Amino acid sequence: MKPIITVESLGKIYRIGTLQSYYTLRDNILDTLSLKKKTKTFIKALDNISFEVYPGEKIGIIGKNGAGKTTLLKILSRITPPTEGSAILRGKVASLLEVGTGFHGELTGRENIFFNGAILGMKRDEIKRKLDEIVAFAGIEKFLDTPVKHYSSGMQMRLGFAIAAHLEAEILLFDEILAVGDAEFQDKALNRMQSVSNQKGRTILFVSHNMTAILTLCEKVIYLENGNISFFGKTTDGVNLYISKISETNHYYEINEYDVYKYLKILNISVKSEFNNIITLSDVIEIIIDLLVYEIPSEKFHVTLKLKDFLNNEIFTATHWFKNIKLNIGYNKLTCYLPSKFLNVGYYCIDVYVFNVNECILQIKDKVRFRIHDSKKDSLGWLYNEGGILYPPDLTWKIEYK
Amino acid sequence: MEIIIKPKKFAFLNLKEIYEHRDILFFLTWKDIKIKYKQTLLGFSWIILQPLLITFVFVLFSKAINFSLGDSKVPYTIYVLSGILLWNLFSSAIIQTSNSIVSNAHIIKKIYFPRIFFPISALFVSTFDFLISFIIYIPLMSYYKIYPSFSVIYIFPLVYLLLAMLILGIGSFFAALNVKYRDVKYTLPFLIQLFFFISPVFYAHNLIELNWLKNLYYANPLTGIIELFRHSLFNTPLYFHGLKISIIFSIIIFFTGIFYFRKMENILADIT
Repeated sequence: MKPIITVESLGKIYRIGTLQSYYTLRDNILDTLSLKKKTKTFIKALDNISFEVYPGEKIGIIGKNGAGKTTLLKILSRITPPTEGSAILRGKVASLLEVGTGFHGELTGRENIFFNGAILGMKRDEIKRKLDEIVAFAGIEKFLDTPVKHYSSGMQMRLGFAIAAHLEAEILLFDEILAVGDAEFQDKALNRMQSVSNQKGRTILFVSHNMTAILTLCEKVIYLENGNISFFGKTTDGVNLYISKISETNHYYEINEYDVYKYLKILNISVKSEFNNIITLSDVIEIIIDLLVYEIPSEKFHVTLKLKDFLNNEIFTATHWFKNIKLNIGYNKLTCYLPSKFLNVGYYCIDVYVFNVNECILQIKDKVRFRIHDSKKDSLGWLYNEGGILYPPDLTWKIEYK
Repeated sequence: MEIIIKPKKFAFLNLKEIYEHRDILFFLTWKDIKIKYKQTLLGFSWIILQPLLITFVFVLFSKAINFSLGDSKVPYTIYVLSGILLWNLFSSAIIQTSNSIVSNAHIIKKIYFPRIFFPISALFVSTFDFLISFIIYIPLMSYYKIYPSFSVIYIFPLVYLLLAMLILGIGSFFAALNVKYRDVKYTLPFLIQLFFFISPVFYAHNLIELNWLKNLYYANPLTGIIELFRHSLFNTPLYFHGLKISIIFSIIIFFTGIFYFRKMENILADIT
């Protein structure tokens, strides 16, 4: 079978200078006149990328911000040309880098469907034929002839996705569409993408930071690192590699000294076990927050922790406040102990929030990550390797037999 | 269907691609017209009122300083209005086309289709306004008992074609330049004002008698275009040598503008 997408030593170089979004003629004249020699710096957003995709495959593209994911998608969508190499796409391409591009508030839902559908590559008859279906999928029947500016942002997003979901193309390129919207919308979007690709055998390239979505939808992933493909293969392997890479050295996080907030300043956050930096199943885990408090605005001034698993699913939220422990003016060292044999092996992430009553003053998200290793001392042996985020609990069992 | 993506080499407009995406061009134009008429309070009436007001001013002006069209018997009101209508199309289209890339940057960064559609659709939107404003012209002509010759059937399209080439040439050049240098837009009103005085909008071309100046005068394509337009309406004499110069410059400006636009097209998404 012939691959539907062939990418061969594709590369894209940006000149750092062009990062300035625009110049004035004055800038240019002054630059030319200035005596300082300017050194041009180049960055390789994509460096010699090659891969092949076969019809019907669903490929996830993962990597840190700036790894080149969006650049790759933009090149395949022809929004920006590569500087070297080539890509061949054998089929009609629909690319969706954003939901609802070109929506205009003054236009009605119907008018926006036609405009957005057209610029995404639908023919006029095709839009007419699918109009009812799109409207039903977005759930905006009553508001079809209302200007979109009166829609809620959720409705606009649903409409945008509904149009995109009805594109007839063999190759679909999606960028982070699941990053927006509530959980219900994300589920709907994901389901739709799955059913479209399963029923009609479409090929999907899907960029996301949401590993749950990648694991559900994709069979294979391309893991990009600094513009290179560092892994191309089975999704679970790729995701695990990605998780382990981004989780490596964040047991300690020091806050930038320029980040000044009202009332307090967090100096650093660290995660460790009682004895050393390698945390095992049988260790009590200490989460330590060093903070300086300038002012106590109210009784209900407190720090909240949120624990998340490696897929960014929330596990629990906790605060010291319920334990009648309060922050004081001056330096505070707040420690939270996670009991041993509570969490299973794996990667975890801690977010820190500071609240005054119900107002969130400060949040530090996705910065502190730690890993729990298995321990040789552990008697339960193989059980924890079976997965799950909780340590195999000590449950009460009962058996009845005749 | 096979799409090959490679580092871009320079190529002139891909007419096949433009034809395949023609629906997008239609919807771009359609959208802008809709939005324009939804947002303005005066809507259509403004488009008709504005040229009438300017004409009124020039009619008063011509009475005040005893300004004449030479031996022509065409009433000044209708003569100047014909120039102003065409002039309005030119000036509004130049401004719209020059802004078309910057104002659609959000689309350019997210969706691909031939970028030349933005200036073209801006031209069409202005053309639509022109057609609306032209409606007032017909009763006025019958009022002054002026009936155009049969030649309008082929001269009007020719006038529009020449004007469209001129507008697209200048407009797409500035549209691309505007992305790189945002201060370009401040020079546009000046340029447009300049054109107003060096084109026969409110006076007749035969005011100019020096031969060398006359040739230079026709190097401004708008001169030839307006004269041709008036020739078909009022049967005023046509200076053929001048018209040829105007046509040649129209074509040169068109190709220069499009070439520059195509050269910049590849980096538009990266720098807008």
